[in-house]
Amino acid sequence: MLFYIHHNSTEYKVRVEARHGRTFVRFGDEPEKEMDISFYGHECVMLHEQEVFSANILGEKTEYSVFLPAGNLQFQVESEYRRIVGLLRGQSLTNENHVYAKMPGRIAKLSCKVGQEISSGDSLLVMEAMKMENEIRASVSGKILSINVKEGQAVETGAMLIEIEPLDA
Amino acid sequence: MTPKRILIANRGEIAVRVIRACREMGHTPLAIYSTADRLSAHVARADMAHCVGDGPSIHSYLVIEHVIKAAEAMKADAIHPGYGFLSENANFARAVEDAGIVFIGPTADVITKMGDKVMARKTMAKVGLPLVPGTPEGLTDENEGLKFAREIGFPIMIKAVAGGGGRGMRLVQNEGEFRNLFQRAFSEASKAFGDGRLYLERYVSSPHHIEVQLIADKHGNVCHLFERECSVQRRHQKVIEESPSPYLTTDTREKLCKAAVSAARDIGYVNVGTIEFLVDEKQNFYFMEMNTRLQVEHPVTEWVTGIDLVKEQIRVAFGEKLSFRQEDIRSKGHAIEFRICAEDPEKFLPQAGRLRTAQFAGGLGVRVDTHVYRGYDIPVFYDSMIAKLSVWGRDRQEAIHRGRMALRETTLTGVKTNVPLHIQLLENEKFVAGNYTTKLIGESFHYQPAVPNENETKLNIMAVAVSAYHRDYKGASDVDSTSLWGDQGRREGLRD
Repeated sequence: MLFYIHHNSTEYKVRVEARHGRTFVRFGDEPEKEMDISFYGHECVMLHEQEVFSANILGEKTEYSVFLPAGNLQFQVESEYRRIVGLLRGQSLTNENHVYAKMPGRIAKLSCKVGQEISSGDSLLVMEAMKMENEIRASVSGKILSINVKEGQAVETGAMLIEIEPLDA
Repeated sequence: MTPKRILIANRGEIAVRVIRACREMGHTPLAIYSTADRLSAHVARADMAHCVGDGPSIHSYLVIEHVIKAAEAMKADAIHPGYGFLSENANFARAVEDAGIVFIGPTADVITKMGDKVMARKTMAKVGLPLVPGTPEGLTDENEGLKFAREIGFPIMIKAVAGGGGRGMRLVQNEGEFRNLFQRAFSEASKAFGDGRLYLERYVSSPHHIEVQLIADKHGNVCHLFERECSVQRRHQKVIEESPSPYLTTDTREKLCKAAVSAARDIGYVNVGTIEFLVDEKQNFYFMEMNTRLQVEHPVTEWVTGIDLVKEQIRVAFGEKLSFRQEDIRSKGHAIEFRICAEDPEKFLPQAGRLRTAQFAGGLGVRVDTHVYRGYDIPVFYDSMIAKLSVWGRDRQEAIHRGRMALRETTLTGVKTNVPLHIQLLENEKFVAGNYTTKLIGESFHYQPAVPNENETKLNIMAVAVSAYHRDYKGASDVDSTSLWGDQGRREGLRD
């Protein structure tokens, strides 16, 4: 499984595979290496070139924290699977603030303007799909950066409809 | 001493600590708990436990009638109040005595005298302890306060008359800030102690906070167990304590301890108590306050003297003589205590939540006092301190090295803790040199979030990737599994 890992605004690609009880890791474009890594609960002990790396790793959905004596580090983890399913469903982890079409349909009504400040839960537009009118609401509070569709326009799954600049970003 | 039934009118690590002393002495430990503390280790370790109310302490641990009722229901012979809650409440001590139960602490009269910080100042001035200039009476009115503040001169400290633990305490730099900070201190003191009265003191800049541990029996014997340096503080709350103080000269130490003993003798003090002093850059000391109870940081004194303060407390409460004389007490080596709190190490904000890992340190010269364990839910109602780690070394340097080791072994996850802060404090030049004042945190020390180097980042990322791969992987972690895609989908909750 390929993982896209975000840390300090850098994306790292790591491929992990288990074959016959052994773990193989490929970091970026480096050659694949077998990893000596074991878990007991959250505790991870890894031997890497004879160096012992030991830490507690806690994952909550896509957010991972590594607890080290010097402090905690945060990582955002997206598997290849999640990225593909996310794309199909019109969600993206990296740009959760933007509004994507989750299904093919037609924009029935736009209820926001570029530059407008919106709060989480505000209605942004109404999309007609499968003969139903679906109200699309903002999942974050922020400012509308751009609207990429017009009323009456037909859109495909995954099309980016509205860009939002979140308030606390 | 015949076996007694001892109720611990407290919670958390201190309740566990007192239970240990009871067990050693063959007494029966009895616990009280709030509904939020049902699963705390202090309940599990007692012989009997009585619920005293709901989570908020004003509905449980602070309700005198509930505690007395629990003591009667469990047929307690004595009550140990621990620290905080009702430990310095004279009405409680009186109610305990009235119920025919032994109060493990000083008399209600002494608690009244010392608990009211204004009265304490008057009493201590009479027995000859030097004082920092301040208001003669407690205040509730901000206008009156401002008048006094102008007389004393800014900067000024606002303190709670009923105070303790840094609550209701504010440093006011100038007149403009006074009203606002006075109101905040008043409301904090009202909530914490049920008494909002405040007093003002001239602010001593860059002082040392040094306290003397005392113990007295009912036969007129008063001993000191040397001092503790408590100058590593944040928000007027102690973070690290050590004994002996790396700052005091032998001469000042002797004067300080003597003054404390003679003051305790003059006021007829019984049981353990602590006199807190401010010590300035010229080694002048001023009386700050007296705590008429066991202190949080008592383990450092126990380390260097080898005396179990809680056992001694219980013995003197039942009228026995102290088991030692002043000349028997020696301070050996060096001890440091780290208060481990569930709080953000950068902003000092308390954290509530579940501990997903709780591993503590071990080895020679390492002590852990705690009530938490893996899976423990930290309630929102109480103090954020979840453990005390204390270490002993033959000298200060050994204690520091041991502290670093023990902190590295301490693994607490699920909530943020101040363990990384302690680790960084032990690397601070001023702390290591023993050359620090209460200004250390904030002036010479700033917490820095961890920044791993390139190689460490790589190791972390690989470990996270493998961890993500294995997460909730309950079946075969092998390529032979029917469908990797299906497994991954289930793991991530994207399909059934």
